Parts: sequence; structure tokens; C-alpha cells
Amino acid sequence: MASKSKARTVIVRMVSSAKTGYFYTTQRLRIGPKLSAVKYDPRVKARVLFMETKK
Amino acid sequence: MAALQAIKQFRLKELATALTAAPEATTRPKVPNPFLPRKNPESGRWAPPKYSLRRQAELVKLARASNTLHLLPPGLKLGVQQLATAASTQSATGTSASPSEEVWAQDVEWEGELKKKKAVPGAEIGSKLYAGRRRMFKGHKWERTREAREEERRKAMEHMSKRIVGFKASYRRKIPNPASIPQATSYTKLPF
Repeated sequence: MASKSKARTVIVRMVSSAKTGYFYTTQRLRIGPKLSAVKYDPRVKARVLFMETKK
Repeated sequence: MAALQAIKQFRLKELATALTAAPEATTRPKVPNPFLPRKNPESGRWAPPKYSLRRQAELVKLARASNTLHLLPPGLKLGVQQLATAASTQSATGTSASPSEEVWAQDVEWEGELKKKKAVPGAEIGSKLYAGRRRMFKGHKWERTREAREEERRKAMEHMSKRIVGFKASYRRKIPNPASIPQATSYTKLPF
């Protein structure tokens, strides 16, 4: 039986750099740069930089 | 007025035998306390008080209203301390408008011992919760670590605006050109 090939996209977790523990979950292409974006953190009630970590 | 009447009736009823028995006795007449249970010496059984707790509470309320607390016997609804303070205030104010001249308002000794109430376990400390315990609740973990966590957050947020500005300036460069996405090169597969 042929082994299952890896998926095209991968699910990643973007964690808040304000160290609140709040995170967003998204997808990105397996071959691609690490995700980072400025998103809203409700624990600090402000827009904060979110960096990707492995899910 | 009605309160005073009620107390007067109570006194007349209870002290009836004592008053008629020895009118010129110098010592205070002894009267069995109608607010306390009594033990029958022959049968050894306890008879309940002549006045139920509900009626005792009513009498106490009426006595408070008409300033005649010192005329009531001690009981579960009226402590010895309260009676003492009432008696002292009565003697302090004197016989201004009080009916202390009347026959039924004489000083009387009430027979019968009032059982002492069990001390509430936490009375000395002021709270029942920690009455017999060695340690107090030290707080939830999240309460204990809260300050440290908030301090970390505050530090992280200090330079956040600068970081965001830096990020916005640089992030476009970092996205690779979609036209030039490299093929996945596997070094285990041979090309032939």
C-alpha cells in the first residue's frame, strides 16, 4: 500500500508576543515562510504582533 | 402603653403567689422562672418552660418597647448581661416615669439555672471558617502568580508599538516571490 503523501498545507498556531497566552490558529503552505501578523489580543485589548509556533 | 400592660399582666400572673404570700418580707421573694424548663424531683422528668420561646421573644420585644426589661426573668431570649445593663440603666434614670413603685414591679429573685450556651468556635478570631485550623487559605495559584504574570505582560507591551512599526517595515521583503517557489529537492531519490 502506498504511503500517504504529506498535505499541501499545514496548520499553525500564532502566539501573541505580549505573553498573554492568547493565540490564533491558521493554515499556511507547507513550503513557505513562518507566519507573523499584527492581530488583536483581547487580553491586552490592543493590536499586537503574533508569531508562529508549531501546533 | 399596650406593651406596658402586657408586661404588667405577665408580672401579676407570675408573682401572684409570691406577692400574696409575704407582703412585708424584707428579703426578695423567690419565684420559679417561667422561661426555664423545670425538673420534677419525683419523676425525674423535665417539664418544658411555661412560656414558649415564641412568647418569650414577644415579651422581650414588648419589654424593650416599654423600658421594663429589668422586670423580666432571664432566659434563652434574654441574657443575664442584657438584664444587668437594663437594671443599671433603670437605677441610673431613677423612678422618673417608670412604674417601679407598683406592687408588681418589685424586685424578685428568679429560681432556676440558665444553661450556658456553647461558645461558637470562631468567636475569638472573628470568623467561623478558620476556627479550628492551623493554616489559612493561601489563595489560588492564579492569584498567587497574578502579579508576576501581569508584570511580564507590561514589560512585553512597553516596546510593542516600536516592534509593530519595525515589523510593518520589513514583512513585505520576507514573503518569497510566488513565481520562484523552489521545487522540493529530495536527496534520497535517485534521478534515474
